[in-house]
Amino acid sequence: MEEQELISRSRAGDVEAFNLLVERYQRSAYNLALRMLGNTEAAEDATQDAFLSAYRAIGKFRGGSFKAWILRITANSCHDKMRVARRARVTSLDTLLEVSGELPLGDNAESPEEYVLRRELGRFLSEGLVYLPEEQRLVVILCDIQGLSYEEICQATGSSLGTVKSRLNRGRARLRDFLLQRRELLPPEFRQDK
Amino acid sequence: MFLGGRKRRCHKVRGMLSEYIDNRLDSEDRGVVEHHLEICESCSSELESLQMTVQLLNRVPQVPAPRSFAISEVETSRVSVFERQRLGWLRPATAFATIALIALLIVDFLQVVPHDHIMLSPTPQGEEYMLDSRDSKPAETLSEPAPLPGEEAPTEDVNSGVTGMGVTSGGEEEVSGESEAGWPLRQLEIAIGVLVFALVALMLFVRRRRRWSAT
Repeated sequence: MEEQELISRSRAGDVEAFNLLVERYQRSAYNLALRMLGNTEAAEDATQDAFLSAYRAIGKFRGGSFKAWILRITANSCHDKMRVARRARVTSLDTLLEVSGELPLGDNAESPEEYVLRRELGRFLSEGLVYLPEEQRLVVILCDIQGLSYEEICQATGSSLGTVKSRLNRGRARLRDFLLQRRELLPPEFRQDK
Repeated sequence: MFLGGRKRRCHKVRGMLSEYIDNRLDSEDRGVVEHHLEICESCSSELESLQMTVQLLNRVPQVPAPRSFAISEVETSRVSVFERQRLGWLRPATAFATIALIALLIVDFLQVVPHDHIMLSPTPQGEEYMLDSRDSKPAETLSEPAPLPGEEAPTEDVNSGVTGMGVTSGGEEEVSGESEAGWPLRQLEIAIGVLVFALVALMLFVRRRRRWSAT
């Protein structure tokens, strides 16, 4: 069924139609929440919050990329979670990351060595992402992990193109600095001196 | 001067490296960046490290959703009931109270209706009373004089008391007669102001609670 038709039916209160949209975008939304929060449990909560909020607000969707719209709501939901975590005196989201242990990194069929390397890399990058300021983290995740275009990122963040470019540039540079501090954890092809 | 110019060029090019990596530069800017990269080792190294970062991020896999995030009829009906029960009356009530407060403030400002004397700032009579008192005997402004023999004691009403002291004219007695039936505007303003404040606080609380209780 076409996305536009599903949106129209969802606006009319058709929960089944909305759930088809959920099925289509839940992976993206959950991955954004996971990379933003660094914690599987909090990411699940944030994703569920986001889809309920989206159902309530679907009448306000004014066209454009529905995926970007869903990701914007998910980012807002993550922002709320982080605010609550800060209020609960969880001073750093690193704490959440430590509590969560290993982040799942996929279910592809691969050799155990490859899996271990990929898992370590995923964990290392997750730490690096959590290290970024929230706005830069969001833009970097949307661009380099989710693969959104600059225009979709503008819609997903509610920011201007100039702001998106600036945050992306700063976020990547900051993450690069973090990664180069622990060069030994990088895959061999990335370990050469700067 | 030369070093300063080069530093500026490096700064400018580094600001465009992300767009260069994403192939978002127009041909002119791309040419500027590529020309600079040919002669600047430091910026070339910067580009390589940023490209490495982007490539690593591109390798981060999308994990599958751990469960379905489909919403149920129960959840949606709970949300709508919550909205209907909590925010349904709250918004119009807040709007109505705010409009009432603004209308009262306008009425008060324009002095359309006579005010109740109790909570008001000094009335014209009061001002006159104070002025007279200041001019002549300041001490008498603080305590009411004892009634002279044969003179009727001042009533408990403040306006009547002022009149009884003989410092107001007959015309002012008419005004004071109106103020007895005046409107308690200030009390109303305070009461509705408090009500508006409470409604707004309640609305914010309910919104926040709704956001968290939706799941």
